[in-house]
Amino acid sequence: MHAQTAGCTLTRNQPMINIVRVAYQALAALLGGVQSIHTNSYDEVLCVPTEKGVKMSIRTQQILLEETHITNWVDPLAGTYQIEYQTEKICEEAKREISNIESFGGMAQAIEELYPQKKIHENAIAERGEFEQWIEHPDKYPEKQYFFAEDDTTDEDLAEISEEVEKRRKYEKEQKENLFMFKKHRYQTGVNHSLDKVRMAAGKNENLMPVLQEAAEASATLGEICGALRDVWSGAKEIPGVSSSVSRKTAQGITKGYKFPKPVRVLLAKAGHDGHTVGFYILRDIFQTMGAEVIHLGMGVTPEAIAKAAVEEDVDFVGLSALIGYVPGFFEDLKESLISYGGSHIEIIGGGIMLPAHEKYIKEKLGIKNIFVPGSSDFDEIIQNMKKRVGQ
Amino acid sequence: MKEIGIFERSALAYIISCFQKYPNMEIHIDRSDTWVIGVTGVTGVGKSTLIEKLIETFRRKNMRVVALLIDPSSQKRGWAILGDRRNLRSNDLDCDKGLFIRSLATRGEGSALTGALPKIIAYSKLFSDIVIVETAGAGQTDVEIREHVDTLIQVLGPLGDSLNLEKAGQSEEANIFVVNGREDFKSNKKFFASAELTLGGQCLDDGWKKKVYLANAETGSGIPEVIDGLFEHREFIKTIKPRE
Repeated sequence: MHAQTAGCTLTRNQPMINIVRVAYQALAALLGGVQSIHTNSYDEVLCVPTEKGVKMSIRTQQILLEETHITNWVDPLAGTYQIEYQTEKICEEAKREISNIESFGGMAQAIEELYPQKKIHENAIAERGEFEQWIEHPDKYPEKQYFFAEDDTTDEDLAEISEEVEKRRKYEKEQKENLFMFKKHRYQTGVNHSLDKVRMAAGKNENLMPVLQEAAEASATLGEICGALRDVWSGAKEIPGVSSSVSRKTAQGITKGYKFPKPVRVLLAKAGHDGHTVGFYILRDIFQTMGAEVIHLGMGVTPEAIAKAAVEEDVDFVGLSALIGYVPGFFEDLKESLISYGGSHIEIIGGGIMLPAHEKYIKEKLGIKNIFVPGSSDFDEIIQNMKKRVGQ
Repeated sequence: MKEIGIFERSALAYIISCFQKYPNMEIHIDRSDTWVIGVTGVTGVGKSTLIEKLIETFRRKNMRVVALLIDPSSQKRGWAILGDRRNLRSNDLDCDKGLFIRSLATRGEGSALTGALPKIIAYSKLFSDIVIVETAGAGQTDVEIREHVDTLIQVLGPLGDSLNLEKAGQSEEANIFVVNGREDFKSNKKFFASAELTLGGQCLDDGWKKKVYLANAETGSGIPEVIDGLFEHREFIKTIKPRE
């Protein structure tokens, strides 16, 4: 059994307290008897984790392992009435879900039918709806307000992180140069030959290990090997359509029944090679309930492709979600591409994981007002901005 | 490679919006003999996947392509999720300047086709060598598209029996049928054989003999034959009459 602490519970306005959250979650997992854990970094809500953040989460695990000795027992809380009772309850629920999944014929089929995705999405948007309630009615939920408090984390405190993030920007160029030199100094015919072998084995569904090894030894790159497999099997296809009547109902609560007075077209896309689609799909639900025509471009799109699509589709808004890599770069490129395709009038809505400095940069220097970062912004704002833009 | 220029691209995008927004708008559109291909078939039968393969082939032949993808709007609430464009994404097509893709919502005119479609097609013809129109997948009764296209492809899934093939509707009008066989359907061959018997060789009013192909849009097998069939039909319509 493996457990990962939940990235979605981390707060951006008080990054340091995430360390405490992660530690308790890891402890809970160990008390539950997991064999392996993954602890998140406290800075995951700001950027792709830094060295310091990663070290902190490793140390959390080491403290649990070496200083609490909790791993000496298989099930340290066995027999505790409350825990056993809760476990029974979870177990019952799990059994129900498992039988649901089995009614599809198994997990693979259930994924194809979008069952688990829908469940995850419904849960995420329900959580988001609750969150909106806390923000909107501080008098009703005074105990939840610590959640939104700003602590004294200043830009200076984040300087270390900023520095590392800026440094990463050069990695792309460096990596490309390294790759170029690597390819220049290898025996190309051997590479081609080994890749052909990979294709052949993949086509026949044979054991791939020997040919993969051979390709790696012949200096084929990981990208080339995966490319050879993709030639045969074709790449992963995202199934669009994670939305349900339940999630749309929650979205209606968030938009408070507002509807666009005329057809509005929106293009939504996600840049970067990761699968964090919650924000993206919540936005889709929200636009949908407001009566927009949503063009779903999916994941892993380049800024240029987004710009081209946005111009061709003549959209009013283009939404870009970026949670990985150098995020301001995506917005710079999108802005530039939109101009070069003649679509500078299209308004950009953005969201993602970024440092406060980057948020400021995108808002002020790039002039993209509608930037939404985890936890620190509410949907009221986005809806107000849109009303203004659509002319109401 | 031929391209759709930056000004042509934004003009086309803008005018299509206008046609949809202002139903009474008329502008003078020069006649053009650009080839228009329609693709119909029920939802989920693999139209987008087939279109992706067609676009790839036409682009390799250096033909500029405009693809119009029509999806239904919610009748009650007006929203639409236009997801077909996503199916046409690939590294080669994403930033291809010779390709223009536009998703259209039906906006609840009660028909699978937007009222503005004839004008949109006529205008799109000016910028391209081929216009491909994908309809909302309303299936059997969706015959209106016939009037606006030169060649009509119907995609069939190997489901149902030969009786379904004889039902009135689309199958009376399509020029080319593609049975989109998939690996998880066991009845591919059987269905193809009965489709071939029922539909193949039937004559349309203009004398064209309907053609039936078995293909797999996912893997691309059988697609070259479909392409050959398409070009054959194009030659055929050139011979029968100059289109007005």
